[in-house]
Amino acid sequence: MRLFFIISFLFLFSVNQASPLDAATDNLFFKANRLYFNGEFKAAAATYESILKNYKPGLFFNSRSCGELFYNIGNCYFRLEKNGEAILNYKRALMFIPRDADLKYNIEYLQDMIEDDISQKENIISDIFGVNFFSKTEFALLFCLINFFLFLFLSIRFFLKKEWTFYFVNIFLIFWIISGISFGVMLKETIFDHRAVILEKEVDILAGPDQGDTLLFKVHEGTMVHHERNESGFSLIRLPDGKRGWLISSAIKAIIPANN
Amino acid sequence: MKRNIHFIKKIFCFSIILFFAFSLNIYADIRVELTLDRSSVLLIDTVVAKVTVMGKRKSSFPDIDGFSFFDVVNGGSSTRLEIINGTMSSSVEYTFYLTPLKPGEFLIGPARVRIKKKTYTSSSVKVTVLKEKNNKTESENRPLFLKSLISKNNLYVNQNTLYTLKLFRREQVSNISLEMPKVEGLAFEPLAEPKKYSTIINAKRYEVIELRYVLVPKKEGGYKIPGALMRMTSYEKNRHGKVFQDPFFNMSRGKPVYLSSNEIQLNVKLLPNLNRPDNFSGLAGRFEIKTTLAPTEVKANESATLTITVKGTGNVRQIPDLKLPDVKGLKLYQDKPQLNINKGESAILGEKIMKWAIVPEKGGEYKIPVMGLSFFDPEQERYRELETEPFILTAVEVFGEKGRKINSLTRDDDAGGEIEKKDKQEIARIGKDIFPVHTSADPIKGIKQQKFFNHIFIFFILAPPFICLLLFTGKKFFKHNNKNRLFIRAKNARKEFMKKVQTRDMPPEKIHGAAIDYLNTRFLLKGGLLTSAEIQDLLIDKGVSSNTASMFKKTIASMESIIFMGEKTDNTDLIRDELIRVIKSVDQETQ
Repeated sequence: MRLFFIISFLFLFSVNQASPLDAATDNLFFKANRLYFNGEFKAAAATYESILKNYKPGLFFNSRSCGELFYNIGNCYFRLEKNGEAILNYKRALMFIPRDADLKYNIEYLQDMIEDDISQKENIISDIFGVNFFSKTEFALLFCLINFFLFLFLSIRFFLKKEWTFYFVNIFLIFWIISGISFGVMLKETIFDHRAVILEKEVDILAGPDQGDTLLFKVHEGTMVHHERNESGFSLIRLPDGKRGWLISSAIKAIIPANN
Repeated sequence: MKRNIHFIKKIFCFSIILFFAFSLNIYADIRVELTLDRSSVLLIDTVVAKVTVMGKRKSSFPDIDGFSFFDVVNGGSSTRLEIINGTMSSSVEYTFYLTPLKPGEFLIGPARVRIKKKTYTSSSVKVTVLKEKNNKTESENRPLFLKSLISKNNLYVNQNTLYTLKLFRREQVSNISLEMPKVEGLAFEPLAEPKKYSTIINAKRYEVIELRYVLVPKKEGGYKIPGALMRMTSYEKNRHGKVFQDPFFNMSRGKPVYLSSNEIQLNVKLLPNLNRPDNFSGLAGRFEIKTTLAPTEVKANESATLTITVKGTGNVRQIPDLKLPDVKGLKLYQDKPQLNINKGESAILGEKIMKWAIVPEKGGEYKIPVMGLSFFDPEQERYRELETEPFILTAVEVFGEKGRKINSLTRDDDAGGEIEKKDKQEIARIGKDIFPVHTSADPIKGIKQQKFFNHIFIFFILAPPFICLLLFTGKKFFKHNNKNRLFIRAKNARKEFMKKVQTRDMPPEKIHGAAIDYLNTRFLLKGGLLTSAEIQDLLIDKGVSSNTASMFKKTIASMESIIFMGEKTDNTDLIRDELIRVIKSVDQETQ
């Protein structure tokens, strides 16, 4: 236990330490906001993106401010009339701040502007386990907390065979299972998220990974697709209604980048 | 007994007589008669036709010729059995109410009935149907009559006038149905609920039911409005008093009655061409216009509401939708106009409310253009023009987020933009845009939190089960160690003792044995019987006070004398309680 407290204090100490990098980041954020309000959206987007580079993407914990930055970048691209990039960044923000009313409104607003009428399939399992309602960080924190209490009461029960310890252990065991499954579903959704957004105004979807292949259909900027694989500069995509085809890889961007 | 037999005999004889009387009836003379209550009727009258089959109480339904020129209502049938001066007669009577469809002389009958495969025929009767005389006095003497009135006989096209129907009645009536005259180019629109009142005509009290309609001529020309037709069931007044005048209590069957109102002559003129305004839309009546603009000063890109209300009497459904001309720098969004119609006592009142949301794109002063509306006033027989008030809308420029744009909404986008009530107004969307950037975010804190939590997450996930496992293993190890096990047993010696002596009236041997077991377990002795003297020495040796040790010795000694020397005792519970207290002291002193 002593070791646990020492480690915790060391971390806390490291968190509260101010560094020159903090001041630079702070300045960058205010600069980006100022640029946005002055109508210099391109510069504002670049500045927000430079702040994001300081974030080391974690598998479990991601700060809420990360979502706010993606949201601000989305706004910049919307003003630059790059609806594809805007949707991409809003969708990224949604993973960190899924209940943000502004973000939801802006996504809905942009969805209305998209030319292609493709309805996304609803994932019932995700809905049941609240994956669309809580962020990954919230799930991780919740699981940590329940995990802590479960083993705390289990330890108490080893030495104190009282009735109340039995009930506490069982209650937390149920919560532990539910939150564990939810957290697992969330991780699965994140790790196997192959969604990508069309960035160009209009893209030809071909029958094969070659410019000479038959044109199957066309998709437009902002449409969300499922990226299956890459081949010689082309990407195979699938639409929610089941249509598949190849397009130039540069025309799409994955919501979760490959290096994450 | 004798009297009873006599009575039964009398009844038997009477039954025999009755049987023969009815039997004789079979051979009675069967006749069929057709009668009318009058031979001359007016077109609006109802004749009662009766077919009487005499000499029989049952027959087939009569088949009567000559009914094709009448509207026939079956009045039902009645049977009759009469014994007059010992002569018995029976008959069945069928009643029909005939309303003539056209004037002329008609032959009704013969009526035919079938009785036991034999057909009996009546004679025929003549009836003369006369055209209704336009004699006011004669009609007003009837117990039921219908009258139509018009407020004006000379009208302009689209000019509204009041058409009134009055039913005068001295008889009880029910099941009233009305058929309004149908004339091409004339439209009738009912006004408020029918009015009921009493009046006196020719010294007779009549109950009056008044129905009011607005008559709107759509085309010019001379019209002869035929009378309205009213059908009802009338109940003649009987002598049983007021309560029984009600149809509910009236035992007699109601008589169907057809009433027709008088014809009306109407002349409709075209609206004059002289001084007809260009924007005239066919509106005739009396109208006024009211305009409001609220607020008159707004920020740029915010909205003000222009409301125009046209109200009046006349052909209100034809109030045109006014068009607000485009003004440079102003965006105009019109709501769906709302038409409210109120049916008054003698006219139709209406108001049309038209609203616009006006959004100035920039700061400045904007003149809201004047809109005109013209109508024909039939009272003054001239065209009149109305104009909306001129308004100036002041817009104040607000400096804010640059690059902001307002995207116009279509009516479909603006869900529920319609104005529901006069006082309350639903919020209508004027523009649509995304929400701005989040400036309250703290990226530094975010970066630090992310680093911190990512570092310790695994620790938080794995540490609790690991610690728990350690505790579990430690406990198991501790329990399985022999030395520890004995130590634990020693700690629990008093609990074991308490379990053994918990019941009352225990034999002293058992209490003694439990006390010796306690000492062996508590002080990890090898076992065996200890004397009271040995116990005292042992306890003092283990650090127990001499007082407690002496008390222990004394208690054990008293039990030994009971067990081994046969000393008698009334209650071993006192010794047990004493021993419990002493053992508790021993435990406390050797902690």
